[in-house]
Amino acid sequence: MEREKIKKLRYRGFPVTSGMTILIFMFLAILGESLAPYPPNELNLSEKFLPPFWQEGGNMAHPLGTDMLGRDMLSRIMAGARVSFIVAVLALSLGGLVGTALGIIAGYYGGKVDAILMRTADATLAFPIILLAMLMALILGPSIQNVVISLGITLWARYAVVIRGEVLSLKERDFVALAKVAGSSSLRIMFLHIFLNIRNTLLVMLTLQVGWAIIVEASLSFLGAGIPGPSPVWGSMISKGREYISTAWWIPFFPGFAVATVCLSFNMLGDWLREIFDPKLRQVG
Amino acid sequence: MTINFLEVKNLSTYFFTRRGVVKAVDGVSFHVKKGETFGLVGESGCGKTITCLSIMRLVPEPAGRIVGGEIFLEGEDLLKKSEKELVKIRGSKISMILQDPMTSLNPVFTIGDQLTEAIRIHRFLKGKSLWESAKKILQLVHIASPETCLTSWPHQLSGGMRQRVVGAISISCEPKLLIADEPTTSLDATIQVQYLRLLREIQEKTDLTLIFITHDFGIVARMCRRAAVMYAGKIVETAEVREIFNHPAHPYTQALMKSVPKVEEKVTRLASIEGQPPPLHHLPPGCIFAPRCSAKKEECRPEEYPPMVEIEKGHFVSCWRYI
Amino acid sequence: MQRYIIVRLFQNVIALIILSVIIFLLVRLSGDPALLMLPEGATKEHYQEMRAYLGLDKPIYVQYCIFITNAMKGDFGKSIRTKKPVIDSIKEMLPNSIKLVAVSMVMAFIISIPLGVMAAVKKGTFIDTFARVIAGLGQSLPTFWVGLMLIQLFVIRLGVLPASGMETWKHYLMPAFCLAIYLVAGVVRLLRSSMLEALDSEYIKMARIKGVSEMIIVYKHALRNSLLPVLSFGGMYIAIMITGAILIETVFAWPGVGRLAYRAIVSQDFPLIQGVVMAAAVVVMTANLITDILYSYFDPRIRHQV
Repeated sequence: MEREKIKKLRYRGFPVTSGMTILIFMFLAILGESLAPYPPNELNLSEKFLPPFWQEGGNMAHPLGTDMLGRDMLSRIMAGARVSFIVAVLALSLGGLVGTALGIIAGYYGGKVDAILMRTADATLAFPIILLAMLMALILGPSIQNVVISLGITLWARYAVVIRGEVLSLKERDFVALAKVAGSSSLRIMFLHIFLNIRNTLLVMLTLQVGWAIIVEASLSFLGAGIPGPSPVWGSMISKGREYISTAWWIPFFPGFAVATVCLSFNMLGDWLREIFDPKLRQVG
Repeated sequence: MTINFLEVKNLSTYFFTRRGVVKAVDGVSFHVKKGETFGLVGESGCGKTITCLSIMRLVPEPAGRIVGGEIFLEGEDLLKKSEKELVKIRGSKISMILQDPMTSLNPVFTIGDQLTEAIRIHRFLKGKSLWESAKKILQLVHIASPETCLTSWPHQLSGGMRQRVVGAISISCEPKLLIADEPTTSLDATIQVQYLRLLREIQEKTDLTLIFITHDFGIVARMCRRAAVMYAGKIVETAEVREIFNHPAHPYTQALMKSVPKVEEKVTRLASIEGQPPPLHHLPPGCIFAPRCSAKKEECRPEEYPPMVEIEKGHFVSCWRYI
Repeated sequence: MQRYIIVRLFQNVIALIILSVIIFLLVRLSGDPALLMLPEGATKEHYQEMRAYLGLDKPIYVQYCIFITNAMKGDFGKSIRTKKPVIDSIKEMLPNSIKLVAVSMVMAFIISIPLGVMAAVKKGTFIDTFARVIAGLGQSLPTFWVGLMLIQLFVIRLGVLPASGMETWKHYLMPAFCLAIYLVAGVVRLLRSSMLEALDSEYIKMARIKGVSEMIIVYKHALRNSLLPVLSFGGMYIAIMITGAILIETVFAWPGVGRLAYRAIVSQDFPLIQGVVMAAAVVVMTANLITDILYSYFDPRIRHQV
């Protein structure tokens, strides 16, 4: 039944452009640097501040122009995909795993456990983690670990709350009672039966959160509390390019455009997934 | 010949969905006399509620649409009226009681607000007279302390009280026709009886014409004079309630009668009707009950749906066996 | 209702305490707190003073008590960069940030509420699609980048708006707009789905049965119910706004606490950051409390508990 449903709906409004963008993004993330026309960190001071090819002074050798140190913009953008991708994957894994597990526990056991977990989640959601991330960056030094941890801390709460909601409604359904009667242990019920049913919600949430994670990482990098070099990081590129906004607008423009495009694609994919699985899933994301 | 109070002729309301056209109401005709209590009976999903929503022109759009027929209320065709005219008619001429009292009241407004709104709109009362009017109506539905009730919020009231309030709101502007859509289904058994008595009382006091939607034949027996049995969007039989009980003509009605266990009889196995009602977007051709009918004859094959015939005075059936 | 508020207040205070412990531990874990709090070129005497001030030779819970007592007095030490007490800088900049956030929120609601309502009422039409596109974009665009691009367009290319400062209403336009984007997206989405749900409900059907006009049904009966979920997300919105404020103030050189935080990071001014984080926590707590009070006031089910 599921397969038929998806087959029928596959052709219904699948966001093709978004899908392609995402594929390109992941492709670049894995192979990026090796595919780039120039080494992303190669300085070429005689060719600095070249505009993109459609403007006067630009050429096809550097289609998106060069930055203040003569580095090729296109190559840097391509290479920058990797960091964003890695951070997003790690943060979502961390936050998603912890959040889902806690959400299932809270929903299944209820009572005090539930209350404490939910209060903590609320508190986490209401606090701008970016501040904590900045603090951490200052004290412990900026690094990928810090960014991943900070993102994970914010993310877990969203998963916990939504998954708990799903579990609460699933708990009452018959197949759980059946499993209990058949003698399954609580752990088994939770992680096998219930998990299989929240798979869809989880998938939608993960997709929708990728964009968010990338933007927050870019924001942190922009502020200097994110990922340090040497490989290019989109957020930092925007930050360093800021002072050239009047003379060489393309330096901060393209990295930001990359962030926006990738994020938009993931959001559209997530929305489409949500429509397929259950148009009533409104609280997700 | 006197004009019937309500005359529904060939009403058809379809829903246009991705899976196909759902013929929720298909060629339904019946009439109700003034001051009468008319029952619309059938299982869930047979189209009784949509029929009545169609009468009120409140069919959920854009998926649903009234595609054909005429609805005459005191001689005027409701299907030809504009939305502006309908807004004036709803609440003042026709009204409805919904099934679930827990969700029929708006949680963010007081009972007083919700009750006086209708009165304000249709009878243009204001201030003190508005309030007094509201209190009187609450007394009519036997609510002990109307003042307290008016300043209460829906969540503070019990189910039974809420349904009384809903009833009060529905009759607040003295409608001529009241449609009650399974008003007692969500209530406790003891409260059900009280509520039915209340409706009876109101009807007698105000000469209200009442259409009662239900799947419970017990309620039909108690409240209704005449009734129509619906199945899969069509009416299969219309008659006085006594006739339906004593001489059910349509096989579906007969099966329904048989499936209600009687207290006096010893029952070993509960009688039920084989099969399922057909999906409304994929109806079988010809008589829609044929696939489940135990009294099928050769004549029941043709591609046409059997027309309604009068087998006795006031007793109409849609069945090939009587043609 | 009182009970609800007291419970929420209690929870917020607990959260605040936990946060202070986290900050406290973070510092202690990283090495020598005294070194962190001192500027370069500090002398040995300064170092000894700092150690005494932080109570570093005392047991850890005493240190925490010192930390908390100082914090409650508003004493977060002196900024390494400006040498002024941290609390003074915060007091000076906070009103500016609040002004920006306030204007931004007003802007956001003026745009998003009608848009969300329209999208639901005219579901499936152009305006619905338009609203969903706006919501989609709003959640996908990095606001600081949008800010930069707006500066490029309106300041550099067209020269119609100022780049920084906060003197006239024109100065507010771009920063408030950028700050509002994410909020607009979130509210439009939420309001649209709440309205759709409300319009489908039995009590709206009841209102139609009464003969209430469609306009009143949408703007009185449905909207009133739909705004409640929007209000309940208030806490999350505040966090979003504060995050946004840090970025936007940096981009537009807005003299607020956000920019203060940014400069603190750049110049490794630890006492300042610590003060800002704690101040932010208090602001969040207050905002949450106000939201909770408002919510419990407007939802009769909480205000008049059975």
